[in-house]
Amino acid sequence: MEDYQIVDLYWDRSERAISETDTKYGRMLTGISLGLVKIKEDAEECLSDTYLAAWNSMPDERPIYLGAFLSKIIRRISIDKYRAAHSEKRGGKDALVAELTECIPSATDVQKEYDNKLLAEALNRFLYSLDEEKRNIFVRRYFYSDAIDDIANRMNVSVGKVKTVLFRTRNALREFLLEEGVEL
Amino acid sequence: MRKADRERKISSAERLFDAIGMIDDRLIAEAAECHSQNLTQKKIPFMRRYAVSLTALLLVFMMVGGFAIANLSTVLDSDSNSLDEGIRDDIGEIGQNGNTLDFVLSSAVQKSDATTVSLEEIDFFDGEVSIIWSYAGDGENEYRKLTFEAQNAESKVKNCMSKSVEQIPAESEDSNICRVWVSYGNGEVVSPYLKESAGNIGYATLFEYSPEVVPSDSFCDLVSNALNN
Repeated sequence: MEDYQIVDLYWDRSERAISETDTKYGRMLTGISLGLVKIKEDAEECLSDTYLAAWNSMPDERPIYLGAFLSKIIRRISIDKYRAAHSEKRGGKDALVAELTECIPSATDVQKEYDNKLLAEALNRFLYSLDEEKRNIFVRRYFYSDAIDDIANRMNVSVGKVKTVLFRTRNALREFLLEEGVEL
Repeated sequence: MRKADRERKISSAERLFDAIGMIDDRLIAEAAECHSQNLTQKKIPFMRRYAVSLTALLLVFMMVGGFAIANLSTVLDSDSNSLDEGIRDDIGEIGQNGNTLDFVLSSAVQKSDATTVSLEEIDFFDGEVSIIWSYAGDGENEYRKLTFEAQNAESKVKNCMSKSVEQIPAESEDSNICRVWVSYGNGEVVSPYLKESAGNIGYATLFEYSPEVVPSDSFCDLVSNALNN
């Protein structure tokens, strides 16, 4: 089923939207989550939360690239889950800091979100300036959390080449962010 | 001071990591697409596929011919042992010099209980150990899947695959009739033609590969038993 047909199902509030999404993107989304949380049960939980978030965000949103739209959601949910789990595990100061984040006014979140958007826009400019292969290697590594070996297999290049491209791209990104005056 | 600097760097890197999650959808879609494009590009070239199909056909013909002559010799009860043995030698020679796993799977074209499935239909989380393969002449998205019913299938399969140590001779690389993978039912996918290493484990998908090892005889027997049961 095409993406726009699945999106139509969401807009029609048809529960089939979820099953069609799962058929088309379930495996890919689980892979993204598992790359971050590393535990199958947690990845499955993140997948369910992603479907719920997609269900709640459509209508209103009409994504053109449904796979990318869902990937962003599951990535964010998985990172949050990972951080929450590790903060609990570490205990001590980290656990206390995590508890205190609840006291921080939401304006900070808005500011943080705004800053991240500006940073994402800078990243877009940087990534579009790269050639397609370098760009895809970078996105596979840092968006999809792919292992270097997997990227090499996927792109049909050597592991050494992937490492070199990532190393040079990271350095180029540092220069780019400095030139753009982006503070991290 | 150093610790503070390190914590600041980590915090900045986390912000950067978060921001990467907000990049343009087109970039994410492009990187997802490059996966499938490259898989398609890495499929066996047409001429090589044609040659491999012919080899598969030849193998089937030799088997059918072998069985027919063997049966004929039984019916006529003639003294044709030398001819029969000659054919058996031929088949044996293929088994020894060719790729035995190819031979086992080629001989199962018609008779196995394997189900034909598309990649989308394969459940990599079904909790079962399965062998998945495609013949060179199969469609782009056509695979056969057969579950190993034996008890402790995973440890048996892993044990047999660990014996695949022989290096593939350079001239026989990519000349396999079948592309073969094993799904462990927990998302992990490996190929009996690859060495055991973390880099050779796929996740919930079938991947293209260049053979590194020859599957062991015990693995071929395991597959043969699964096909015949």
